[in-house]
Parts: sequence; structure tokens; C-alpha cells
Amino acid sequence: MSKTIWMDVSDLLDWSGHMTGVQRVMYEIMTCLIEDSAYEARFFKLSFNGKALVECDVTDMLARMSAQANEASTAPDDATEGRKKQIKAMVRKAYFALPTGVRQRITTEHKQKAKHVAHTALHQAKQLKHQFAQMAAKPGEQEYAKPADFRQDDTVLVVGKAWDDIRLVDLLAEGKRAVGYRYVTLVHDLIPVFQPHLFGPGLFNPYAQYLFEALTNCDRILCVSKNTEKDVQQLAAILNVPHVETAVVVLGDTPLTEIAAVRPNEVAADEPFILAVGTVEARKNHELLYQAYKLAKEQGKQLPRLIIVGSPGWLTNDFVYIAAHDPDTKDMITILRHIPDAQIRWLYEHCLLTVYPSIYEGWGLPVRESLAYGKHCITTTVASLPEAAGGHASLVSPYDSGAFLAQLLTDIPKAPQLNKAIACTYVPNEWRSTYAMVKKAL
Amino acid sequence: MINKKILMLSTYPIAGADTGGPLRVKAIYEMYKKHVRHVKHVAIFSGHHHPTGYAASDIMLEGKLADALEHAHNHGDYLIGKGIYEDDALRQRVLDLLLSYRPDIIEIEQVFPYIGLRHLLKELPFAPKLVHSSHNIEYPMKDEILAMTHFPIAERKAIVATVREAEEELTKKADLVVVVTKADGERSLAMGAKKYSVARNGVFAISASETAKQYWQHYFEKHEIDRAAIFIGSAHPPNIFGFKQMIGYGMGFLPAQHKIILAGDVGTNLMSNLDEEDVAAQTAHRRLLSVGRLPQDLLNGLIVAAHTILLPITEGGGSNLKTAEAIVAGKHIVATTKALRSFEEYQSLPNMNVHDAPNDFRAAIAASLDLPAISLPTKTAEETQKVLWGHCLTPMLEGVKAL
Repeated sequence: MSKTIWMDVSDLLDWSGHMTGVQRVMYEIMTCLIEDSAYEARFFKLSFNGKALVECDVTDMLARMSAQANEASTAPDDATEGRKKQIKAMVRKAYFALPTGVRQRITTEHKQKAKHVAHTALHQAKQLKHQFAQMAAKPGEQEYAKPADFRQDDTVLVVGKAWDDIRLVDLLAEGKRAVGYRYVTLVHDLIPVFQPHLFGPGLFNPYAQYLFEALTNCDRILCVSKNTEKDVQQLAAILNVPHVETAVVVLGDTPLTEIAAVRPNEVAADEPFILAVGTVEARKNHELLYQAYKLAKEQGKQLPRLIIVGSPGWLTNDFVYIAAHDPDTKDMITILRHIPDAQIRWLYEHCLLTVYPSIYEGWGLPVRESLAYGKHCITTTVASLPEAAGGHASLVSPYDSGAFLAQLLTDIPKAPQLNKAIACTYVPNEWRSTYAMVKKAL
Repeated sequence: MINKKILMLSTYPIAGADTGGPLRVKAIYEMYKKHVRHVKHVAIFSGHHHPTGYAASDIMLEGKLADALEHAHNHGDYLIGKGIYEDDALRQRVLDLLLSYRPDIIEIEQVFPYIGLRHLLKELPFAPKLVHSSHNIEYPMKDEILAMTHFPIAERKAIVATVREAEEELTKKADLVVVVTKADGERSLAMGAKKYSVARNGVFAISASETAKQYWQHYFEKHEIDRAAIFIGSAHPPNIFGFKQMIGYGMGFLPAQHKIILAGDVGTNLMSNLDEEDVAAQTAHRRLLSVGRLPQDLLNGLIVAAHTILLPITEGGGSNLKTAEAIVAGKHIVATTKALRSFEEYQSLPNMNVHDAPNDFRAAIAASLDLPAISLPTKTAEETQKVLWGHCLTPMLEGVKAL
């Protein structure tokens, strides 16, 4: 193997804001790779016309991401939030201006599809914006446009969302055949193909194509958990891939200690609350929490306020509306979106405990992040969650709101002791350890 | 020269034959033309199912019976058989044919015409000999086809019962039963046949025009195919089941530059109505291509261009025309034991890979595509020529000669 490692950075070049999930993994591995003097780190992306893989310089991107990660600013981007609210109000106005008969014929599926089209249009508009910016930029400021010069002894590493544009994996497969480089992909999860009902239309097919080409072309698949590794082998059996070489890497979960914590305005300084961090989507199963809160009300039990932090995702418009308008829950369940890392840090540090009732995960980073902050977590018995919990969390069925309520009522009074035990026993995993595992598997 | 008059009856025309049954009947007709003084083939057929490819002497259905067949995709042959006696206009046309031609021998292709003909024969002032030219044991096959298409149960049972009754009667009464495999022959004896001749399926010699060869060269370039394994077949249930069982939609055992190409309605059937949330079905197109029905020259061109021929049959009676084609083509072959039924002597050919376990079958496909093109020794190549129609149908000719 040569000392050159090429890493795909297609997802990161236009990324801004809070880094979660895939972007965080890419950023951490990329920075470790750059610092590793044992390798020459080079980066590539899919060209704008999707016909080639081109080399790129990540200096500016890293500087931007580092600045955003360490940002001390407390205020959310008011201008962006204001624009979003304006657009939403316009869409609602247009919708309600339609005749009743027409509105009645618009189904939830139509709305989901329209949303998907709007997201795609926005993504393409961002790409166009970047392209025009490139054309206008001075020569020294332009990213490299030359083709990525893969050699036979090089290693090509893909850690990002390669399913976003299947042309990326097709070109990598073609390159592997022509050049013969070592090709390694990190698979975060296989949920869209094994649990397609948890996503809206349009994700299953590109995800399936991406996984097919990854499993048939890669020399090794890195998996973020043993459960994901099992899923990869199960998919290989379904697709009749004779042999897939896999390795498990444990993701880092160290807290963002370099940022000063800042309290969000929506939460009082001395208010007890429990915290759920993660995209607000069907798979994260916030509906179970809503049911638990309703049960508590029915049984006359008291629960602290639930703060949910996460961007909007698949199939939860109804849940968000109901939770916000149900008189029983509107003051007990609060959803915060697009808040900066400094506020997330404050919430972790001041919550009683965290909850993560997910139906399926590739790993379960929020569980480990909670533990890294010294906070007990109540999560679920399925997929990789027990593995991520590592014996440090309470586990409940994701389909039993009664059991979840019972666990909340048991754990909340004991939260200080549970948290103390975690602080004594749980050792956060450094991203450098993650990188060491990736390096070993390469 | 056999100094007899033979009338061949089938429920499909053969002038434009491009699938199993019609091709076999065409081959029999071509052979009879060389060796029998007078031979006539008449198709009693539906213009909806066969808008072209028929001869002027064929009988196209008319009126209500023709309308009934428009949507009868899986039991049209049965309706034609019944119509031969129950439809007044058709009965008259068939009777006129029999009375004017006065055959010494009536050869019935695939039992169905006999459903009505059995009654009509009683009205003839002469007694022709009967040859039951069986391609399959039909009644269980009909049951399977109708069950697969969710045919109403009561009606399906009635149809199958009628076909069975006609098949058993014809088998008993026929002066000669011709079958395609020994196994079918033994089943015929059990049904009461006096004797049987095995005339297994064969093939016409494979030759492709330059145009056809260039077509596939361009196709392969366009789809970035270095080498292809091909499976040619109709939408007959054994073809569909065989593919799904022995290969399946999971194409992960093939590299991108090797593909499987499906030709004929087997491909059209397999690649339509795929489950949108089946990961194997939705990714199969990356290695699996369907080219649909092809004219004979293009089909021959595809065989010439192929590197490997696949025969994944796991059930059903009869023997496969495609097996004969594969043997004479001189390519790598990956087949099941069932596919080589009545071609058992070819199991040890150097280009033959026989596997009955799906994992082994798929591994053999992948391995064959990695090997160089096969080149058979001369003696072996000569042995393979025995699957041509002329050789395969000789026992049938001998049987007819003896009538």
C-alpha cells in the first residue's frame, strides 16, 4: 500500500452549521488523517457535472468548519430562521388559498414528495451557487479542477453520504477496475433498505444502489458497530455477494469541551428537564415519548419538561403539530431546532438525564454523547443501541410507552446517583482512537 | 418416402415460430416434408394471440369464440379445443378440412385440439390413425399456470379435469405417442399408452448474419459488457421459477463488466412488477439486462456473442429446446441436472458445468465468465451436432413409418 490516502469530501465542501452524524465523522477522520505524518492525505470530490472525480484543496473548508465548531456566538442565525418562517408562512397561505376540494385531494404523500422536490432543488441551487462562485473566484482561490490522480497502490476512503449521488460510487468502481487501488468505505447504517417504512419516498433506491456497489467493489467495509457489521453481512447474503471483508470502528464521543456552554432562552436556568438529541424523524420515535407523557398525565404522574433538540426529518409533521398543540403536552414537550453547539452543550450539562427511544440505529452516537457528558440515558433494546450503551444505560422496548414511562419514573429520582456512576466508570472514546481503528483497517 | 397423408393440428401457427412449442412443431413439419408424401399443418388459432406469422391455410377463430380468447392468455388452447366441437362455425371448418383432406394420420400437437376433435372423429366416414405428439404432460402444467395467475379455483379445476380426461383418452387411443423425454414416456405408459417414441427437442443450426453480430457488438459496447451469460426462454413457469431459485435477483456475485442477459419473455416477466422495496430486485439491473423477444437472427447473434449459456431449470416435464441450442452453440454452459433431462450424455462435455445448489450455480456462472472462450475438440463438436432436429426427430419418423 502506498502512503497516499484519498478521502472523499463531497459532503463537506458546502456544509455549514452544526455538524452531526456523518459530517462529524468525516470531519474528525479527515483532521486526524491530515495530522498523520505517516500518510500523504489527498482529497477528492465528484465534479459538478458528475462525470469525473476531481482533486480538491480543503484548507479553506477546514478553517471554516473549525471556526464554526468553536463559535462562541449564542444567538441562532436569526436571519436564516426569519427567512425560513417567512417561506413557511407563504406556503401555508398559498395552501389555504386553494379551494377546499383541491386541498382535500392533497395527501400526506403529495406533501412529502413536494418537500423532497424542494430539498433537491435547494441542494442543486447551492451547487450552482458554488459553481458560479468558483467561476468568479480569482485563480488562486479556485479549487483544483484536475482529475484525482489515483494510483494502483493508493487507498481510496469514502466516509460520507455516497448515496446522495450514485455517480460517485459508479466512478469509484470504474476507477478501481481500471487502476486497481484499494477501496474502503465506511457504512454508517443500512436502515433505508432494511426499514424503508421509516423514510419517505425516494431514499430506498439510491441507498440500495450505493450499498450494492460498495459491497461488490470495496476491499473492505468499515462498520460503525457490530450490529451494522451483521447488517452488512446480511445484505451481502441477500445480494449473493460471495465474500465481504468488514471491520468495526467505534466512533468518538468526546464532548465539545472547547466551547463555553450557553443557556438557550427557551429553558430557565433552574428548570429540571430531560433531553432528547437527534433528528426529529419517525425513526427516532419521539412519538413514544409523547405517548409516555400522555400516560403520565392519565395516571397523575409528574414528569419534568422534555426538551427535544434536532432538525426536522422524515415523517414527523403530524407528531410535531400534535405535540405542540395538545393541551397536555404543549408546555411539557419543547422542540428546538438549529441551535448552536454551545447551547447543546449547556443542555447536556444541565439535564437530569437523556432519552433516546430510537427504533433502529447504525450505532447510536447520541447515547454515547450523553454518557460522555456524564448523563444517564434511557434508550432501547433494538439494533445497535445495547452495544452503544455498553451496559451504562437503561434499555426499554421502543414499542412500549408504558415500560418507557415506568423507566422514566424509576430513573429520574435516581438521576444524580446514576450520573455520578457514569462519570466514574464511563471513559469517552477519543476520535483519535476511531482514527487508529480506521488506519488499522485500511 | 412414407406414402401416407399426415394432417398436423396445433393451436398456434408455426410460420413465424420463435418459441419452444411452435419451433418443435415447425421442425416436425419440416422433417415430414422431406420424408412423407403428403403433409399438411393447420393451426387453429386466435388472431389476438398471433396477429402475424400464420399461413393462409391456418384457421383463425371468428365471432364469439375469437372474442373469448382476447383475454384468455393462459387457457386459450383449452378454449380452442372445446370450440372445435362446441362452436358451430369452427366445427364446420374443421370437419370440412378433415373431409376434404382425408388424412391417413392425424397428428395432434399438445393434446388441446383433441378436446373437441375426439367428438368430431366419431362423425368421420373414415378412421385415421392418431399420433399424440406430446410436448409435456399437460394437465398438471395447466393447473400450475392457472394457479400462478390466481384463476378462480372452481373454473381452474374444471379446466384441468377436462384436459386430463382428453390427455388420458388420447394417450390410450393413439396409435403412437411421441414424447420428448423417457420420463414422459413412462408416464404415458402409466396412462395407458400402447407404446411411445422419444423424440427429444433439438435445435436448428445456429448461424447469425453480420448485421446481427454487429448489433450485439454495439450493444455490448454501449452497456460496457466484456462478457455475458445469457438465459433465453419464454415466460413458461419452469423458466421463471428456475431463474429465481438458481440465480435470483441478487447480482452481487458478478463484477460490473460481466452481465447476465435475459432474452425472450422470461426476461420481460422477471423484470416487470418488481417489488419497489426489495433491495435485490431494485439493484439487479446493475448486472442483469432484459432484451425481450428477438427475431431468430438476432437471437442467434446473441448466442454467438455470448460467453456462457445458462440453463437454470428446476422443474417441469418435457425437455428444453434451449438445452439443445446450448449444446450445439459451443459456449460455456451452466445447467441444472433437470435442464439436461434427455441430454444426459452431454453432462461430461468439457464446457458443461452442472450444479443443483444455487450458491454453486452462481459461483459457476462467475467462474465461467473468468475463463477464456471454450474451444471444443473436433470429436466432441461432432457429438454435439446430434442435437440438431434432424437427428432428434428420427425416432418419431420411424414410429410414424411403422403405422
